[in-house]
Amino acid sequence: MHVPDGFLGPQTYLPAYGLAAAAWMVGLRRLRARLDAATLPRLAVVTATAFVLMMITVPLPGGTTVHVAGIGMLAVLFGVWNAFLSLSLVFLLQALLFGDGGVTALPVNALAMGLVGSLAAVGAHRLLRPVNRDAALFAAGWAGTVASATVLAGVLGLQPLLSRAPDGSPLFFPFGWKTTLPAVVLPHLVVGVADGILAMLAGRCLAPRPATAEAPRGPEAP
Amino acid sequence: MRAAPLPVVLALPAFLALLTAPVATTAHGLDHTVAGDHAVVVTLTYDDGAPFSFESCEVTPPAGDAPSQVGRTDRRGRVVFLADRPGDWRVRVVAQDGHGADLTVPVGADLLPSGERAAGPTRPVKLVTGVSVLFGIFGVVTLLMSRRKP
Repeated sequence: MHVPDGFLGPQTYLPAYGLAAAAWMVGLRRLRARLDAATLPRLAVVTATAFVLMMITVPLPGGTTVHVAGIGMLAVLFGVWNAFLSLSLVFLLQALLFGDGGVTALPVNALAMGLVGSLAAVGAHRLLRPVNRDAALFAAGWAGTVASATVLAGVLGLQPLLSRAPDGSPLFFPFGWKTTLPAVVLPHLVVGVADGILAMLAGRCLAPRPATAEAPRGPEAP
Repeated sequence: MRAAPLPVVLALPAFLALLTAPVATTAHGLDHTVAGDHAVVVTLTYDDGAPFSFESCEVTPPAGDAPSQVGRTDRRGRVVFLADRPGDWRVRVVAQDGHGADLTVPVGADLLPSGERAAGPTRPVKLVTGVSVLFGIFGVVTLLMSRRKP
Protein backbone atom coordinates (compact mmCIF):
# COMPACT_ATOMS: atom_id res chain seq x y z
CA MET A 1 0.00 0.00 0.00
CA HIS A 2 3.07 2.27 0.17
CA VAL A 3 3.20 4.89 -2.57
CA PRO A 4 6.67 5.03 -4.18
CA ASP A 5 8.60 8.07 -5.40
CA GLY A 6 7.64 9.52 -8.77
CA PHE A 7 3.91 8.81 -8.43
CA LEU A 8 2.92 12.05 -6.69
CA GLY A 9 3.45 15.55 -7.99
CA PRO A 10 4.84 18.42 -5.89
CA GLN A 11 1.32 19.88 -5.73
CA THR A 12 0.54 16.89 -3.56
CA TYR A 13 3.65 16.03 -1.58
CA LEU A 14 4.72 19.58 -0.62
CA PRO A 15 1.43 20.45 1.15
CA ALA A 16 1.41 16.92 2.55
CA TYR A 17 4.86 17.49 4.07
CA GLY A 18 3.57 20.67 5.72
CA LEU A 19 0.52 18.90 7.10
CA ALA A 20 2.50 15.86 8.23
CA ALA A 21 5.16 18.05 9.89
CA ALA A 22 2.45 19.76 11.94
CA ALA A 23 0.97 16.38 12.86
CA TRP A 24 4.41 15.01 13.81
CA MET A 25 4.95 18.00 16.09
CA VAL A 26 1.62 17.45 17.81
CA GLY A 27 2.34 13.74 18.14
CA LEU A 28 5.81 14.30 19.62
CA ARG A 29 4.47 16.79 22.17
CA ARG A 30 1.81 14.33 23.28
CA LEU A 31 4.39 11.55 23.35
CA ARG A 32 6.67 13.54 25.66
CA ALA A 33 3.80 14.54 27.89
CA ARG A 34 1.97 11.24 28.20
CA LEU A 35 4.19 8.31 27.36
CA ASP A 36 5.97 6.63 30.26
CA ALA A 37 9.00 4.37 30.25
CA ALA A 38 6.82 1.36 31.01
CA THR A 39 4.74 1.80 27.83
CA LEU A 40 7.69 2.39 25.50
CA PRO A 41 8.92 -1.24 25.40
CA ARG A 42 5.40 -2.40 24.54
CA LEU A 43 5.13 0.24 21.84
CA ALA A 44 8.53 -0.86 20.50
CA VAL A 45 7.46 -4.50 20.33
CA VAL A 46 4.13 -3.76 18.63
CA THR A 47 5.78 -1.33 16.19
CA ALA A 48 8.37 -3.96 15.28
CA THR A 49 5.54 -6.47 14.86
CA ALA A 50 3.76 -4.11 12.48
CA PHE A 51 7.02 -3.68 10.54
CA VAL A 52 7.47 -7.44 10.24
CA LEU A 53 3.84 -7.95 9.20
CA MET A 54 4.18 -5.34 6.46
CA MET A 55 7.05 -7.37 5.02
CA ILE A 56 4.91 -10.47 4.65
CA THR A 57 3.18 -10.05 1.33
CA VAL A 58 0.44 -12.31 0.06
CA PRO A 59 -0.15 -12.62 -3.70
CA LEU A 60 -3.71 -12.07 -4.88
CA PRO A 61 -5.34 -13.23 -8.13
CA GLY A 62 -4.56 -10.71 -10.85
CA GLY A 63 -0.90 -10.41 -10.01
CA THR A 64 -0.89 -7.91 -7.17
CA THR A 65 0.34 -8.49 -3.64
CA VAL A 66 -1.06 -7.24 -0.36
CA HIS A 67 0.00 -7.20 3.27
CA VAL A 68 -1.48 -6.40 6.64
CA ALA A 69 -0.24 -3.21 8.28
CA GLY A 70 -1.23 -3.47 11.93
CA ILE A 71 -2.75 0.02 11.89
CA GLY A 72 -5.77 -0.95 13.98
CA MET A 73 -3.62 -2.96 16.36
CA LEU A 74 -1.35 0.01 17.09
CA ALA A 75 -4.18 2.53 17.27
CA VAL A 76 -6.31 0.51 19.67
CA LEU A 77 -3.42 -0.33 21.96
CA PHE A 78 -1.62 3.02 22.03
CA GLY A 79 -3.96 5.70 20.69
CA VAL A 80 -4.01 7.65 17.44
CA TRP A 81 -0.95 9.83 17.94
CA ASN A 82 1.40 7.13 19.16
CA ALA A 83 0.25 4.88 16.31
CA PHE A 84 0.80 7.74 13.86
CA LEU A 85 4.35 8.34 15.11
CA SER A 86 5.21 4.64 15.18
CA LEU A 87 3.91 4.02 11.68
CA SER A 88 5.68 7.15 10.41
CA LEU A 89 8.93 5.79 11.85
CA VAL A 90 8.34 2.46 10.10
CA PHE A 91 7.64 4.19 6.77
CA LEU A 92 10.74 6.36 7.17
CA LEU A 93 12.94 3.30 7.75
CA GLN A 94 11.37 1.44 4.86
CA ALA A 95 11.92 4.40 2.53
CA LEU A 96 15.47 5.21 3.62
CA LEU A 97 16.87 1.73 4.17
CA PHE A 98 15.07 -0.38 1.61
CA GLY A 99 13.42 1.95 -0.90
CA ASP A 100 9.98 0.59 0.00
CA GLY A 101 7.72 3.61 -0.36
CA GLY A 102 9.12 6.91 -1.47
CA VAL A 103 10.75 9.74 0.45
CA THR A 104 8.59 12.28 -1.38
CA ALA A 105 5.56 10.09 -0.73
CA LEU A 106 6.43 9.64 2.97
CA PRO A 107 4.02 12.29 4.30
CA VAL A 108 1.15 10.95 2.21
CA ASN A 109 1.84 7.40 3.38
CA ALA A 110 2.15 8.60 6.98
CA LEU A 111 -1.00 10.71 6.90
CA ALA A 112 -3.11 8.13 5.05
CA MET A 113 -2.08 5.05 6.99
CA GLY A 114 -0.74 6.51 10.21
CA LEU A 115 -3.24 9.28 10.93
CA VAL A 116 -6.41 8.63 8.92
CA GLY A 117 -6.11 4.88 9.40
CA SER A 118 -5.60 5.25 13.15
CA LEU A 119 -8.47 7.73 13.47
CA ALA A 120 -10.78 5.36 11.59
CA ALA A 121 -9.63 2.45 13.75
CA VAL A 122 -10.17 4.25 17.04
CA GLY A 123 -13.50 5.65 15.80
CA ALA A 124 -14.79 2.21 14.86
CA HIS A 125 -13.54 0.80 18.15
CA ARG A 126 -15.30 3.45 20.21
CA LEU A 127 -18.48 3.06 18.22
CA LEU A 128 -18.76 -0.68 18.69
CA ARG A 129 -17.11 -1.19 22.06
CA PRO A 130 -20.38 -0.75 24.02
CA VAL A 131 -21.90 -3.47 21.83
CA ASN A 132 -19.19 -6.11 21.76
CA ARG A 133 -15.50 -5.92 22.64
CA ASP A 134 -14.27 -8.38 20.00
CA ALA A 135 -16.43 -6.88 17.28
CA ALA A 136 -15.07 -3.45 18.17
CA LEU A 137 -11.47 -4.68 17.92
CA PHE A 138 -12.14 -6.42 14.61
CA ALA A 139 -13.87 -3.33 13.22
CA ALA A 140 -10.91 -1.20 14.28
CA GLY A 141 -8.48 -3.34 12.29
CA TRP A 142 -10.74 -3.50 9.27
CA ALA A 143 -11.64 0.19 9.27
CA GLY A 144 -8.03 1.28 9.69
CA THR A 145 -6.94 -0.66 6.62
CA VAL A 146 -9.89 0.24 4.40
CA ALA A 147 -9.82 3.94 5.31
CA SER A 148 -6.09 4.10 4.55
CA ALA A 149 -6.53 2.35 1.22
CA THR A 150 -9.40 4.67 0.28
CA VAL A 151 -7.38 7.80 1.02
CA LEU A 152 -4.37 6.49 -0.91
CA ALA A 153 -6.58 5.54 -3.86
CA GLY A 154 -8.05 9.03 -3.77
CA VAL A 155 -4.64 10.71 -3.72
CA LEU A 156 -3.30 8.50 -6.51
CA GLY A 157 -6.38 9.03 -8.66
CA LEU A 158 -6.08 12.78 -8.20
CA GLN A 159 -2.67 12.93 -9.89
CA PRO A 160 -3.83 12.88 -13.55
CA LEU A 161 -6.05 15.86 -12.77
CA LEU A 162 -3.26 17.86 -11.12
CA SER A 163 -0.27 17.38 -13.43
CA ARG A 164 -0.28 16.92 -17.18
CA ALA A 165 2.30 17.44 -19.89
CA PRO A 166 1.52 19.88 -22.74
CA ASP A 167 0.38 16.92 -24.85
CA GLY A 168 -2.14 15.96 -22.16
CA SER A 169 -0.35 12.88 -20.85
CA PRO A 170 -0.17 12.53 -17.05
CA LEU A 171 3.19 13.47 -15.56
CA PHE A 172 2.91 11.30 -12.46
CA PHE A 173 0.53 8.49 -11.54
CA PRO A 174 -1.49 7.99 -14.73
CA PHE A 175 -4.71 6.31 -13.58
CA GLY A 176 -7.80 8.18 -12.37
CA TRP A 177 -10.30 7.38 -9.61
CA LYS A 178 -12.31 4.99 -11.79
CA THR A 179 -9.26 2.77 -11.83
CA THR A 180 -7.59 3.41 -8.49
CA LEU A 181 -10.62 3.09 -6.22
CA PRO A 182 -11.49 -0.47 -7.24
CA ALA A 183 -7.87 -1.51 -7.79
CA VAL A 184 -6.67 -0.31 -4.38
CA VAL A 185 -9.73 -0.50 -2.15
CA LEU A 186 -11.27 -3.84 -3.19
CA PRO A 187 -8.22 -5.98 -2.25
CA HIS A 188 -8.01 -4.14 1.06
CA LEU A 189 -11.58 -5.04 1.92
CA VAL A 190 -10.16 -8.57 2.15
CA VAL A 191 -6.88 -7.55 3.79
CA GLY A 192 -8.96 -5.65 6.33
CA VAL A 193 -10.35 -8.95 7.57
CA ALA A 194 -6.83 -10.14 8.39
CA ASP A 195 -6.06 -6.80 10.02
CA GLY A 196 -9.31 -7.07 11.97
CA ILE A 197 -8.37 -10.51 13.30
CA LEU A 198 -4.92 -9.19 14.14
CA ALA A 199 -6.36 -6.23 16.07
CA MET A 200 -8.72 -8.57 17.89
CA LEU A 201 -5.91 -10.89 18.93
CA ALA A 202 -3.65 -8.00 19.91
CA GLY A 203 -6.43 -6.29 21.87
CA ARG A 204 -7.13 -9.49 23.78
CA CYS A 205 -3.54 -10.55 24.42
CA LEU A 206 -1.49 -7.35 24.54
CA ALA A 207 -3.75 -4.79 26.17
CA PRO A 208 -2.63 -4.02 29.73
CA ARG A 209 -4.72 -5.39 32.57
CA PRO A 210 -6.30 -2.50 34.47
CA ALA A 211 -6.90 -4.67 37.54
CA THR A 212 -3.16 -5.05 38.17
CA ALA A 213 -1.80 -2.31 40.41
CA GLU A 214 1.59 -2.19 38.64
CA ALA A 215 0.16 -2.38 35.15
CA PRO A 216 0.80 0.50 32.77
CA ARG A 217 -2.07 2.61 31.54
CA GLY A 218 -4.58 1.22 29.07
CA PRO A 219 -5.09 2.33 25.49
CA GLU A 220 -4.48 6.03 25.35
CA ALA A 221 -6.98 8.60 24.31
CA PRO A 222 -6.38 9.82 20.77
CA MET B 1 -11.97 9.16 -82.60
CA ARG B 2 -8.93 6.88 -83.00
CA ALA B 3 -8.23 4.41 -80.22
CA ALA B 4 -4.81 4.53 -78.50
CA PRO B 5 -2.27 2.06 -79.84
CA LEU B 6 -2.07 -1.21 -77.92
CA PRO B 7 1.48 -0.69 -76.58
CA VAL B 8 0.39 2.62 -75.02
CA VAL B 9 -2.65 1.00 -73.42
CA LEU B 10 -0.47 -1.68 -71.90
CA ALA B 11 2.29 0.66 -70.84
CA LEU B 12 0.06 3.11 -68.97
CA PRO B 13 -0.97 0.80 -66.08
CA ALA B 14 2.56 -0.47 -65.80
CA PHE B 15 3.86 3.11 -65.55
CA LEU B 16 1.27 4.01 -62.89
CA ALA B 17 2.08 0.88 -60.91
CA LEU B 18 5.75 1.82 -60.96
CA LEU B 19 5.00 5.34 -59.73
CA THR B 20 2.76 4.25 -56.86
CA ALA B 21 4.79 1.23 -55.78
CA PRO B 22 6.47 2.93 -52.79
CA VAL B 23 3.13 4.33 -51.58
CA ALA B 24 1.46 0.96 -51.90
CA THR B 25 4.25 -0.68 -49.96
CA THR B 26 3.91 1.84 -47.15
CA ALA B 27 0.16 1.46 -46.98
CA HIS B 28 -0.22 -2.28 -46.99
CA GLY B 29 3.10 -4.05 -46.60
CA LEU B 30 5.27 -4.53 -43.55
CA ASP B 31 8.89 -5.45 -43.93
CA HIS B 32 10.82 -6.83 -41.04
CA THR B 33 14.31 -7.73 -40.09
CA VAL B 34 15.54 -10.01 -37.36
CA ALA B 35 18.83 -9.34 -35.62
CA GLY B 36 20.45 -9.97 -32.30
CA ASP B 37 21.39 -6.88 -30.36
CA HIS B 38 22.56 -5.84 -26.90
CA ALA B 39 19.56 -4.62 -24.97
CA VAL B 40 19.10 -3.08 -21.56
CA VAL B 41 17.01 -5.44 -19.45
CA VAL B 42 15.33 -4.15 -16.27
CA THR B 43 13.69 -6.90 -14.24
CA LEU B 44 11.05 -6.01 -11.67
CA THR B 45 9.78 -8.30 -8.96
CA TYR B 46 7.69 -7.93 -5.85
CA ASP B 47 9.29 -8.49 -2.45
CA ASP B 48 8.34 -12.14 -2.50
CA GLY B 49 10.04 -12.64 -5.86
CA ALA B 50 6.82 -12.70 -7.91
CA PRO B 51 7.34 -10.98 -11.28
CA PHE B 52 5.79 -7.57 -11.91
CA SER B 53 4.08 -8.98 -15.00
CA PHE B 54 2.08 -7.24 -17.72
CA GLU B 55 2.07 -3.83 -16.04
CA SER B 56 2.35 -0.47 -17.78
CA CYS B 57 5.85 0.77 -18.46
CA GLU B 58 7.50 3.63 -20.29
CA VAL B 59 11.10 4.35 -21.17
CA THR B 60 12.30 7.93 -21.57
CA PRO B 61 15.73 8.79 -23.04
CA PRO B 62 18.20 11.15 -21.34
CA ALA B 63 16.96 14.75 -21.47
CA GLY B 64 13.92 13.55 -23.33
CA ASP B 65 10.51 15.05 -22.79
CA ALA B 66 8.51 12.18 -24.23
CA PRO B 67 8.91 8.44 -23.78
CA SER B 68 10.64 6.58 -26.57
CA GLN B 69 8.88 3.39 -25.65
CA VAL B 70 5.60 2.59 -23.94
CA GLY B 71 4.06 -0.77 -23.30
CA ARG B 72 3.89 -3.44 -20.66
CA THR B 73 6.36 -5.53 -18.76
CA ASP B 74 6.60 -9.09 -20.01
CA ARG B 75 5.51 -12.24 -18.18
CA ARG B 76 8.74 -12.26 -16.18
CA GLY B 77 8.37 -8.63 -15.19
CA ARG B 78 11.01 -7.33 -17.62
CA VAL B 79 11.33 -4.04 -19.45
CA VAL B 80 13.68 -4.43 -22.43
CA PHE B 81 14.91 -1.51 -24.52
CA LEU B 82 17.70 -0.61 -26.92
CA ALA B 83 19.46 2.58 -25.87
CA ASP B 84 20.54 4.80 -28.76
CA ARG B 85 22.46 7.29 -26.67
CA PRO B 86 24.41 7.26 -23.40
CA GLY B 87 23.08 8.92 -20.27
CA ASP B 88 20.47 8.41 -17.60
CA TRP B 89 17.41 6.65 -19.00
CA ARG B 90 14.19 6.79 -17.05
CA VAL B 91 12.15 3.63 -16.69
CA ARG B 92 8.75 4.00 -15.07
CA VAL B 93 6.51 1.04 -14.30
CA VAL B 94 3.05 1.50 -12.85
CA ALA B 95 0.33 -0.88 -11.74
CA GLN B 96 -3.25 0.27 -11.34
CA ASP B 97 -3.18 -0.55 -7.62
CA GLY B 98 -0.34 1.90 -6.93
CA HIS B 99 2.58 -0.51 -7.04
CA GLY B 100 5.43 0.54 -9.26
CA ALA B 101 8.76 2.29 -9.53
CA ASP B 102 10.38 5.27 -11.18
CA LEU B 103 13.95 4.21 -11.98
CA THR B 104 17.04 5.85 -13.42
CA VAL B 105 19.11 3.48 -15.54
CA PRO B 106 22.58 4.84 -16.41
CA VAL B 107 23.73 3.80 -19.90
CA GLY B 108 27.38 4.07 -20.90
CA ALA B 109 29.08 5.01 -24.16
CA ASP B 110 28.78 1.39 -25.32
CA LEU B 111 24.97 1.82 -25.01
CA LEU B 112 24.84 -0.83 -22.31
CA PRO B 113 23.99 -0.34 -18.63
CA SER B 114 26.98 1.19 -16.89
CA GLY B 115 27.30 -1.15 -13.96
CA GLU B 116 24.74 -3.83 -13.31
CA ARG B 117 22.50 -3.28 -10.33
CA ALA B 118 22.17 -6.26 -8.09
CA ALA B 119 18.90 -7.01 -6.36
CA GLY B 120 18.33 -5.17 -3.07
CA PRO B 121 18.66 -6.78 0.33
CA THR B 122 16.77 -10.02 0.78
CA ARG B 123 13.69 -10.13 2.94
CA PRO B 124 15.41 -11.76 5.96
CA VAL B 125 18.10 -9.07 5.84
CA LYS B 126 15.44 -6.38 5.70
CA LEU B 127 13.57 -7.95 8.61
CA VAL B 128 16.61 -8.21 10.87
CA THR B 129 17.88 -4.75 9.94
CA GLY B 130 14.50 -3.06 10.35
CA VAL B 131 13.66 -4.70 13.66
CA SER B 132 17.16 -3.97 15.01
CA VAL B 133 16.97 -0.30 14.03
CA LEU B 134 13.47 0.05 15.49
CA PHE B 135 14.47 -1.50 18.81
CA GLY B 136 17.59 0.65 18.81
CA ILE B 137 15.58 3.83 18.35
CA PHE B 138 13.04 2.88 21.00
CA GLY B 139 15.88 1.83 23.31
CA VAL B 140 17.52 5.23 23.01
CA VAL B 141 14.19 6.98 23.66
CA THR B 142 13.60 4.79 26.72
CA LEU B 143 17.07 5.61 28.05
CA LEU B 144 16.51 9.33 27.53
CA MET B 145 13.14 9.21 29.26
CA SER B 146 14.50 7.22 32.22
CA ARG B 147 17.28 9.80 32.66
CA ARG B 148 14.80 12.66 32.46
CA LYS B 149 12.35 11.10 34.92
CA PRO B 150 14.38 9.17 37.52
